[in-house]
Amino acid sequence: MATKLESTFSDVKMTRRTFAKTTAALGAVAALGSGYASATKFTDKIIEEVTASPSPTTKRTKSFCSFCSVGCGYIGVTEDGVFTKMEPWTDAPTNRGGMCSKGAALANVTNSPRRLKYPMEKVGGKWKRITWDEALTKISSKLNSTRDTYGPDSVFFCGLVHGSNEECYMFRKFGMLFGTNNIDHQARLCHSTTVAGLLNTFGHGAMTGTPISLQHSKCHFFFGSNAAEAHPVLMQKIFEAKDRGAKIVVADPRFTRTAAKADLYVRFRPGSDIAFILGLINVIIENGWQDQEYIDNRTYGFEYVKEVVKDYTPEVVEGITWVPAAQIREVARIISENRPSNILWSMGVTQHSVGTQIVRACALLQCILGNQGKWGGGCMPVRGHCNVQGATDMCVLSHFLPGYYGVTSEGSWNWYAQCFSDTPSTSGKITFDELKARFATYNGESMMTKIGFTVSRWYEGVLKPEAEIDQPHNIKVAVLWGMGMSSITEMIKQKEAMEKLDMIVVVDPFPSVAAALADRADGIIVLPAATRQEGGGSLSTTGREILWRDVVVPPLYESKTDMWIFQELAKKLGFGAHFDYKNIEDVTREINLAVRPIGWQGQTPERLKKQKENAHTFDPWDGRAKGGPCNGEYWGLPWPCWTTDHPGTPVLYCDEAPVMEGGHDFRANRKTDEGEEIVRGNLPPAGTGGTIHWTYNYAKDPTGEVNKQAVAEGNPPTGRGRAMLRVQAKWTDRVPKHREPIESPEPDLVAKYPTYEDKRLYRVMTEFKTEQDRSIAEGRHTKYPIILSSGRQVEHHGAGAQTRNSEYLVEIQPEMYVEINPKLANDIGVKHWDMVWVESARGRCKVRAYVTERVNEKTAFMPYHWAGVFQGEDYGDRYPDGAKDLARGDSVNIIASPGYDEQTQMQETKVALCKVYKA
Amino acid sequence: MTEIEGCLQTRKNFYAFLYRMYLEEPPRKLAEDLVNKKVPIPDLKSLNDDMIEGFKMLKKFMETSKDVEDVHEKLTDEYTRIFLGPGVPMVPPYESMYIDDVMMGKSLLDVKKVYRKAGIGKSRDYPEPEDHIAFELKFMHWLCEEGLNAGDDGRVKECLTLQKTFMNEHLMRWVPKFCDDVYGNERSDFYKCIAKVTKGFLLLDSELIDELLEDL
Repeated sequence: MATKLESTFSDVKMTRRTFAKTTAALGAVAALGSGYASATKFTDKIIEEVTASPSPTTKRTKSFCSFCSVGCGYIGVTEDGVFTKMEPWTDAPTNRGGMCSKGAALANVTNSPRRLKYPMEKVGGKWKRITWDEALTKISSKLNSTRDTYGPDSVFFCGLVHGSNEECYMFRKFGMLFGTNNIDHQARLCHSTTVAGLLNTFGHGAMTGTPISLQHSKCHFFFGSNAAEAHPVLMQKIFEAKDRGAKIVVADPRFTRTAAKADLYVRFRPGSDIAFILGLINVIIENGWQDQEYIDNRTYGFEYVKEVVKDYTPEVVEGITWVPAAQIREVARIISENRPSNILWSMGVTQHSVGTQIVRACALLQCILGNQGKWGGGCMPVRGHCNVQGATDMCVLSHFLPGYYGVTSEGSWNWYAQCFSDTPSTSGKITFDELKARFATYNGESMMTKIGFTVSRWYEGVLKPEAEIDQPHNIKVAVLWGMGMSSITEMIKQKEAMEKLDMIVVVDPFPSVAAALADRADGIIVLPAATRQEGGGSLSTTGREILWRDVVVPPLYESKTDMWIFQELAKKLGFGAHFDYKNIEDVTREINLAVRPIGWQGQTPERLKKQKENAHTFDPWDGRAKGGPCNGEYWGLPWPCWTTDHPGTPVLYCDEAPVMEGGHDFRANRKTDEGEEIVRGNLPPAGTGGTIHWTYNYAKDPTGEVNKQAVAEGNPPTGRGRAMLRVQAKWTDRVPKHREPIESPEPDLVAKYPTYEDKRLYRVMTEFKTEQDRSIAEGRHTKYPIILSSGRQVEHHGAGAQTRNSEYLVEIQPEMYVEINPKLANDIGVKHWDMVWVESARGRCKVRAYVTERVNEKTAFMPYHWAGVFQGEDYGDRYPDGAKDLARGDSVNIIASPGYDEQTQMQETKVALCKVYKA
Repeated sequence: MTEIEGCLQTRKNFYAFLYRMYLEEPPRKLAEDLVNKKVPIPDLKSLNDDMIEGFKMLKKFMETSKDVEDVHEKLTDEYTRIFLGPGVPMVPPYESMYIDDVMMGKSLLDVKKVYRKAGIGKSRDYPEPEDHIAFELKFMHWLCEEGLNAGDDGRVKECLTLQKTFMNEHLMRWVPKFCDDVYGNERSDFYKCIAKVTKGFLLLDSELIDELLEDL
């Protein structure tokens, strides 16, 4: 009938009231309007008739939180396709239904009105929506032209700490095929020193237990970890142990909420961490409290440690750390008398110019007490992002390939050329020579085997003259993939770099600081990434447990999973054949094939999914399934998991169980400089060892037969080695020793314990001694009398892009502040919540004063999740209209120290000098 | 053609015009029509105040529009800025944001129930939630079309009744406020006109639906 109604309504005879008059009047407009209805650019069809089910369905999906790394399970509820709420997953073995304030707001994050909905480009100072195809075409042609003109190293890729293992693996693979090692992620900024310290001491660079294993401890020694705020659900495990009589010792420059729960709290000077630990070891050896049998059989180099620590008597250490000698003795006594004791740390340990060595000191302490490799004992670096462990394992890092194969060895590239060709998951084939040809040649050498820039200093690659960087040309394009830029120090330089680049590509669910910081009218494309609730795949918890996420709700708006974006971009760049996975499980299978050094063989998608469906069969006490379809398996098949029959390894280096029951040992196949094999001095306990076969050549065995042979012989394929208390001679400090921070308040101590000599690291010169001397020459220790440290808040996460946009979280924690002691506040005439300036040699921040005894008179503390205000100036207007973060604040990283770790370029956020005054 | 058919046809087309204005950035054809003064201005005497003001402004807008490219760009920028983001749009065009103060709120579930009952849903390619103003207006458009295609008065009445309920329980609850917000935040003047016309038309259409139902 409609087709007959060609004429307009005015032709119809009118008799009646309102509609007679008005519809006649509107007829012409209306007729025109229907013409526009079909003239759409973005939307083909809006509505369709559906044969939907008569009633809306409610779906419950088990998944895992996407904030910190504890691995809390929850049930995401969708009603009629809308993610409406979360329900407790009460038999999730780690959290048993509990969530912290951040985790409870996950639906709020996915549904946030601040989400980026479409690909957009900034043109002439204005944002414009573009189609995915336009966006990807523009990006790929810019990447290609930059590659052609300046070489592949002129692109810097960074981020993806929230990606699944599969997507992180794809990201690193993407960098390899693009032809650059300029690819790095947030782990550089949080636990790169943990990885370097533990890997070189033990064989693996990860937390040695699981959150569940913490319940078995007799003493928790928090050293630079504020779990009560940073990892609230992990804290529950600590309390369960406490209820069973375990002690809690907290050593921290700040009286944290964790310290409030301690049996003993010790306040020490920021940056004196190594001296403190060496002091403890001194007292332990002095009293004969060390586990000598353990040391003799399972470690190498104890005598050298003994030699070093003899100079760190409690009295000497008191002078360095400001901790009374008696307190140092007391801590040593408690951790010795209550074994197995562990040591927990986070950024408090890692973010120092001596971060790797602080980690080494912690590792030594655990070995000397005989804790390392015991349930409840060991090193517990608690990680920050939900999949930072996995992103680290997949090595979105400029010095490793997935599975910690070093980039400097051609063998690593050979292995990956083989895996990329052999994997049944993709159709692509590539030879070693073809892969090498993807990279530039510089000074006659291939850049393939050169370590790339890091997240912490990438901006130097943009700003420094080309003669001062170790690559052919400056960085011209940055691809920031889920990277909150405010967690990086030296923000003033970063901003300058972001303005100098030819193009910035931001891939993020929220257009974060990355899009707003740069003062530029063109050359930014933002792509809407799906949140973790909208994508599948696996994640690795801080305890190496691999958990499988199902999709709670499909990607909203035009957001796409990271996987999809990689696939499409790879297609446009001409290496799509290496990314033509049918589904995310195919990627997991490629990881199973390629990532061998850490034992990623047993965690097949099928096993991971089966565990999730049978979570209730796992005993929350030890995380092991008792009966049922997963009988004997540990929750999350913690790596190493050597074969598809292996149960996973919840406690690393635990030689008390057979390998097929989760037993393990220190990595062998390492040698001392003197050529001595690092193999253990005795057999492990009866029934666990089997044949003496110290090392296996398993890491590049695509068949997996070597793994099977090793476990059949009762050994881990990594062999049965020793912990290296003393490392090889290539290290500046073979045994940790105290070195003052780059900005030290104590010139006399600097003279006695100077930092390292300047060093070329990660393609750029890093000033250690020069900057430390400069600090003293400028008199910063008198101009800036307060030591500034930074850390987390329970309500916020990372750079804050997600949490500072959640109404609920912002209501609880709305503003940036600096914690100062009441005495300091009174001396500078400041009341609680007054505005103050915190100034360092780099710049200044305008924030609220939080007057509290949490810090002492000489120390100030600022949370690091804040951005959007830059040196007192609100950048709200620079955000795309309406995209400005709900809560904004000045970033502590504007004023943080210019110090970097000697091994990994971790930035030194925990010690800087500042002054505080009324604003 | 019956009177009712004619009315349904006009309403259908007017809804098409309106939903298109909110669906995405303006098509080039619209900019051309504005510059060439081809968008007809109705006889204002028979319209309500909001519509009168809206169409007057539209007339003025056309008179001052000279260059198609300029107008197209200005309208595109303005659409992006107020409805699209990135980030929270200046005037979020979603019922949930008005009624529940969140995205994906109860209002979205409610409208989805209404659509489901009517036997429709959004197409796979439509990226926005169904409480977007464009989708809600499109639903009214679809019901007009259904009425026109109906074989019997029963079905026409069914469609009109659904429109009446949807108007009262959804559109009228938030769109007038939304239109005021557009009016207050818009910088190009074009969407100010559209906001006024939308608000006026919904007020008018509420009456029309009642009259049509009386007639049946």
